[in-house]
Amino acid sequence: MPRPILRVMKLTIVILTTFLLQVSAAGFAQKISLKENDASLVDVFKAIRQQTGYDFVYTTKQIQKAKKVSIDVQNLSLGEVLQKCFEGQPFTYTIEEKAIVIQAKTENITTTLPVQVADQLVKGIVKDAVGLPLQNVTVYIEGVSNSGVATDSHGEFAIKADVGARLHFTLVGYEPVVVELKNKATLNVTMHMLNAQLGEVVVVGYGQTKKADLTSAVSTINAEQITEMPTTNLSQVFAGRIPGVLARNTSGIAGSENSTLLVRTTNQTEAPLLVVDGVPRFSINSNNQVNLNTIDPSEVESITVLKDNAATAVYGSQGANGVIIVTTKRGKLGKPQFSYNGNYTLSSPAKMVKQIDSYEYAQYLNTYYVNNGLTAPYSAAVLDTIQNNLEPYKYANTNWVKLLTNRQSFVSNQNLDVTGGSDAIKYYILGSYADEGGMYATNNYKRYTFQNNLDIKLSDQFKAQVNLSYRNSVQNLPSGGDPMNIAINASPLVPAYNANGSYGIGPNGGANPVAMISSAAGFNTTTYNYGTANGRLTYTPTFLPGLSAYANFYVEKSFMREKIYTVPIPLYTPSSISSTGYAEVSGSGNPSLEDEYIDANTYTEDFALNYDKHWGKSSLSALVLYTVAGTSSNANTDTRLNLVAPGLPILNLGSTTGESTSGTATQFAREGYVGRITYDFDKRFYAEGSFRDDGSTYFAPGERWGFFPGGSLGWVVSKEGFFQSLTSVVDALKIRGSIGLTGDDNIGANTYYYTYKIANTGVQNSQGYVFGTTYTPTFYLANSTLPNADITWAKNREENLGFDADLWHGRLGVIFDIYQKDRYDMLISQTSNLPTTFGIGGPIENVGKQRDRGLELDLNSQNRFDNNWSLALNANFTWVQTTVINAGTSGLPAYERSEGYSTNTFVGYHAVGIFQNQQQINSWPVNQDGQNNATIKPGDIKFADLNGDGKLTSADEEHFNNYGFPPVNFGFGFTLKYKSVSLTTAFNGALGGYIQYLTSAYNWQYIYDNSWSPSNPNAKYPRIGASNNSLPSDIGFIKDNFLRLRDLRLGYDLPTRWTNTLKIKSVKIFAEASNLVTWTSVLGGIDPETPNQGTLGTSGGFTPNQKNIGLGVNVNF
Amino acid sequence: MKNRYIIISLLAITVFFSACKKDVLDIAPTSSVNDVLLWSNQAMVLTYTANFYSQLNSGFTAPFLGAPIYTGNLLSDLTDDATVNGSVYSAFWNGAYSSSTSPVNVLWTGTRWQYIRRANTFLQKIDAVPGDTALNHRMKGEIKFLRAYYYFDLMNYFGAVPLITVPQTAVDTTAFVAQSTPAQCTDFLVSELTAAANLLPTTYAASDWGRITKGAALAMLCRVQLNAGRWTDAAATAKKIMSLNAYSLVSSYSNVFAVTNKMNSEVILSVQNNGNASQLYNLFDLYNQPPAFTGRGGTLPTQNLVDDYEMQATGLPITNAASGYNPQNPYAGRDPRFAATVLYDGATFRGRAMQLYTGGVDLTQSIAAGFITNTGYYLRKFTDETIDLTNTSAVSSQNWILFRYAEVLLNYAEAQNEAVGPDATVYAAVNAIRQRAGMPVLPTGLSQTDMRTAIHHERRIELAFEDERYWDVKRWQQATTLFSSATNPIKSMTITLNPTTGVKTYTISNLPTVRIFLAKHYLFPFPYSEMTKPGNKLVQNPGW
Repeated sequence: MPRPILRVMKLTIVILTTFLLQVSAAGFAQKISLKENDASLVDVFKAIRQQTGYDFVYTTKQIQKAKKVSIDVQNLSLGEVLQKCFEGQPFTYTIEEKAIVIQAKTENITTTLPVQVADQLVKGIVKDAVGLPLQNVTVYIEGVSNSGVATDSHGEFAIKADVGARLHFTLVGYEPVVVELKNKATLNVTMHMLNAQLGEVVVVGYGQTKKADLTSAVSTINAEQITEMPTTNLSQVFAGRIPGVLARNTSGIAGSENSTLLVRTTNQTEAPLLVVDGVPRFSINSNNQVNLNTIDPSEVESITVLKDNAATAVYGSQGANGVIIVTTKRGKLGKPQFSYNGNYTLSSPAKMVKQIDSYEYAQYLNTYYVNNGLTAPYSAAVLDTIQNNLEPYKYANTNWVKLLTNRQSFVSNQNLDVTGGSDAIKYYILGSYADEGGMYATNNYKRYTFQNNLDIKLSDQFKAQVNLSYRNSVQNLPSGGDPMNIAINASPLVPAYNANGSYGIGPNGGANPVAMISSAAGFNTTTYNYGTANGRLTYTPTFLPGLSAYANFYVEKSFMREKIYTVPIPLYTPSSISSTGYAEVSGSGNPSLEDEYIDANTYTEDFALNYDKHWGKSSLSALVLYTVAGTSSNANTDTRLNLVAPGLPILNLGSTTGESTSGTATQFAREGYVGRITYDFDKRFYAEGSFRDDGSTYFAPGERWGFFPGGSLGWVVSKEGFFQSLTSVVDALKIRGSIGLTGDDNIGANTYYYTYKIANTGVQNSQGYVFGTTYTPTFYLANSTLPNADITWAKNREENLGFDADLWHGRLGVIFDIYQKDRYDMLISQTSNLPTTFGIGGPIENVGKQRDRGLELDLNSQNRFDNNWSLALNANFTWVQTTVINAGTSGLPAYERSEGYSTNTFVGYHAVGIFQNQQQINSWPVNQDGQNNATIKPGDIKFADLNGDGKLTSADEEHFNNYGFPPVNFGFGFTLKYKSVSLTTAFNGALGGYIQYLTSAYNWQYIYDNSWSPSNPNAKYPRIGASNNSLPSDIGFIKDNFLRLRDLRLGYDLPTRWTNTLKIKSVKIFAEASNLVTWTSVLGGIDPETPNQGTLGTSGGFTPNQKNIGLGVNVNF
Repeated sequence: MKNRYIIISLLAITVFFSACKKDVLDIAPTSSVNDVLLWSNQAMVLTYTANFYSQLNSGFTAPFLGAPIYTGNLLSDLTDDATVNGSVYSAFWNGAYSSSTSPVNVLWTGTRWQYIRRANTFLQKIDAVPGDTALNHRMKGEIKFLRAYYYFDLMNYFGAVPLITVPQTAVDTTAFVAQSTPAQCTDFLVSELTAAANLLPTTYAASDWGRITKGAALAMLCRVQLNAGRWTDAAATAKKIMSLNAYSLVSSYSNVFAVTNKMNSEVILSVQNNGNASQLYNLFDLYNQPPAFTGRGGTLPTQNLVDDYEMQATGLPITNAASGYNPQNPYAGRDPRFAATVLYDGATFRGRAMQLYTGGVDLTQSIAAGFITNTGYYLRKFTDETIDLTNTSAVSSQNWILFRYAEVLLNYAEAQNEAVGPDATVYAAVNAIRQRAGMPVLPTGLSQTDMRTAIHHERRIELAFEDERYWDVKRWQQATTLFSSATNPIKSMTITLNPTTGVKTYTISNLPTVRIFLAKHYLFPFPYSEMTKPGNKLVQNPGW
């Protein structure tokens, strides 16, 4: 076995187990007093660690060779003490972060040894921009290792240094300062707060860079922001946090709260690419949205969103819709650091529709029947019975929605992670458990996550990274589908329970929603098992500095199993002819079972060469990469009815009569060549160019390869001489510009030839036929369009112009971007230009065009008032307008043309009012019903006759922009700190969109109250139930503006004297809330981030966003 | 030492690179069959024919293909035979729609034309399919029939349509085809169905029961000719079917539709179901049985239809004073087909007498207000009394009969009466049906006009709820009268029970439902969106 590997295997990490250290607000002492005689080096280390908090990292093998140490020092700096300890030892050390790492002595180390004798004591004070003293600033002499000291609580320091030496001052969060000593014995140093955003290291496509060096539009969320919100679903952290990212939370069902995420577009089919730890994920869920819910928020180090094409060009065919890069945490050098995080919240719907009571409902139904030329079903006597609740089981007053939402659920998310390691191996291990109760007892979600990230140094030239993860989630839902869908339109006259305690009949002949959510109704359980392994071998040859190469291998196996076990629940109604007084109306028969299984395998392999070169003021780095990825999946679904052993949800206990089976298999592959070159001069001029040559199996051979280049330039204006007069206000200003081309292959897959699929039992069973008495499966044509072998990628060219500015010494950071994305060669079928008699859709062709335009502004401000008070503010604003340029409809009449409109439009008639009386109808010049308005009655809608032909036809329909998706999104928040108390808020909101309710939903109080009747002539909605008013129109339009207090968190750091007693390092506790308040122009109780925007409006049958209130704790030990 | 690792690693990388170079993109799509493979395999082509059968429309599922209307409502709901206690048919009833909002637009824009194209492709390819030539001929006959069926269905609703017989390929304005004339359309169907009849066998093995036969092709041909008023041709075609000696009347009227007797000698072609909940079934019973049995009371027979059943003893209509009809005991002594078709007060159903009087369980117990009848009747015909409607996975398995022998006899009688007059063969055809029903034969010596009236009456009674009434009334050009509530209001029965005396009082009244049928409603409009396409060659139907 090769020796280095052996060494790794034998490696024993010795961690000094000592008393827990005294932790104080002042931090660790930087002055050491020590008296040891002929002590072992290990004991000396222990003593130093006790006083300074620095960990020592070494192997047993190394330390065996150590010589004994005798030392007697008073108030010396760490560097001086270490210098004495390591004198004559066979090894030396380096300081990394908060650890001292023992290393083999090599020749070139002598350049930093021995320590120069300091001949002058320099004293000084370090203050921040507003004149407040800064403590814990590290002060060290350039070129002299181990010379560092730290400032005390008054900002004061003292260090021995030569005349002419250069002193460095560093403090996390501040710009480093360098001062040259010129016989000055006292120094006054001012440090400026670093704009946190510019200092960050940012993960980008196939690499990383400093935010300050960026030339393209890239935004990030850091670990702290991610864990601010008590959510278990990572997709929830985007709303209002990243300019350019539109996030809509559309469901509050436990385990299904995935936000719809869009980057710089409002076209909801254009979902961004998800990259996790450098590996692009195949989008496998049905709505084409990225799968973020498998990732525990607390394991994430950072999220980067690549917004412009110069940044995404390296993802070629997948880069057109933006890229979301999630990077998980990695091991940090030092002894094991354990951290426990826990959130415990109570959850309930944030907003709910209010329904009318049974008396109003009976009146509504009577009106509905009469308005439809039918007889009213409830007589005056019955109405009286209902109003006075005289027969509560015959004519009930059931509030279905309330029955479904009357319980608070408990949500907890807990995780424990440990990080640490030596020079040779570093580790980050996380285990987490999320337990989310849903609105109903039968809806809940549990997720277990295990992530293990290892960094292994195999030799000086070889490094390996091994990431292993395993995730398991279980989601339970009611077996019979979404009960809210039924409840929202249910009649309150139907009792949920009968007088004898049995379940009442379901409203409108369907299921009883209350019975549906009982555990007796069976279950719908989806179990998801998901394992990934990622290995990366990096080779950094010594013969050519700057060169490195890596090979990355990723495999992923996912298994999904869904079992829907439906147990019929008997529902009863009182019956005069039944001996028991009740007749069963539904719920006889045996249970049925649907068992679905999907397994998917994915692999990705990357091979890359990197080269970095610095000369003079120039830096150059280059990347060449080959990547190949593939996925295959198999799915089977079996359903059997009539399970003979109730309670045993096993397929073969069911009857083969009514059995249905179906199965599919898919496979897909991509291949690509990537290159990138980055150059900067003096950190003043930046230039970057990249490309990807990409192949995809979605298209016909010959049309599979596409070339996607991108380029960007940056100019740090503030470094120019002419700018210096402005630097008192503007510390830094960089102007960026970029252009790039990317593609989109995820549409029109495999439409280049005729395919026939097999319709067996299952969803396509109605395509087959019965001959004799036996079902005959069949082939059916799968193409809905004429095959076209010439189709290829959709392309997307984007220009981006932006600037980053840092003003008033870090008090204000501004990032601004403006862009235009031109999508062309989009795959569309020009079906609407062909007659229906053609019998198949027009071929999919690369002719579609679309333009996304927008601007983004990101502001943040860090303020420190004194040592106790600080305030951080952030705000961002996004405006994006997506316009259809060519949808293949330009030759059609205006009403069918979508060119020039946004992608989220409502097409319908324009309502100009409501007829108040017969006279108005008689004089109305527009024939609305084709019968000269003979069927129109007062209370019906007056429609505009746009083309003036005297009759109402489709030609009178118009397009209304921004329907269901607002063009303006914004977010803001602040963190206010006083000593160990902090208050953090995050708001988000949107402006400029419209929605409307289904006007048939008259059992919603808002619509019922606002519908026309002779006594309510100024109503918003027309009279109840008349079919003349069911045409799509803008009569019910409501502005969809809102502002939501998304997160609120009050945190408190427990005093160190308490934590010391508990022998732990630190404890933070939080009171937290999400979706606490929503201000919205949407009336009637519906959540403004509503889904289900159908052609006629929203149905409201969905589980709204949840409001969570609870506690959180973070313990480090 | 270190060099060794470099070499090993480089080797490993090279191996991976070369392993990947074996063209990773060379992947064939899975879970589908391509065009070339399908048409080179006769067994697969035979399997594909089932797909064309799936486009036959069952009245148990929807009034027309793709109708967004409750399953299990019949086309009869648009006639004076039936109504629905709800608003699903409002637009049909009051005629308040335009070519933009026509409820039948979905039939045009749905799958009909897709399957015409697929049938065109099939007929283009079938001769070249390797294998048994006789089987290819038979399949050709089946698909020719089915394509004609799709066309005939469109023509019934829209009138003359474009005739496209080969799959079009050009995607420019030449793709637009103008309507043929009505005569050309009929000629096309006649020649296609004649050709199909020549290619098809008279019977199949039991395992293929339900496939198109020679008889089925002729039965549709007969209907096409009848529709076009080609009386002589229609009578000749009917005669051909009669002389096939393949079909006969079943002895009991209600047994024709019994779910236990689906493959009976009277059925020429039916839309097949096997009642397997994951295969082919319908929900007719759930949607149409009375609500007290947890059905949804969908299609409701009207008093108008009930009044048309003759008295069994005299064979006379109830309007004739000599018929023996008693308005205060209205259900006694009627044509036996009344009890087989309509659930009336006192009729025994599922083991008990129906309570269709005020306060009776069948007028009060329901899961929703709209499921209770507003005519005083529920539908009995086709129902399966054994089905357990409380079991949510229980489904109905009745076959929807498209053509049956009784219709052929009535077609013959009508065509022969129009072409020649009421000769003995006309009497024989009608009387065969009346006798099977248990009714007296027609009186002899009827004039051609009286015979026409008698045949029209016989069709309404015999073929009630089989979708025929809707087409017959339109064919007879009587729809503006019979389908308008101003001239023929929908009538209902109210029965009041005196609880002390036990005496029931029968009152007939008009329902408030407004029905308007204007001349333009004989044909539905072509969808507005078709008419406004650049290059459109269709001419809109009159009045739209």
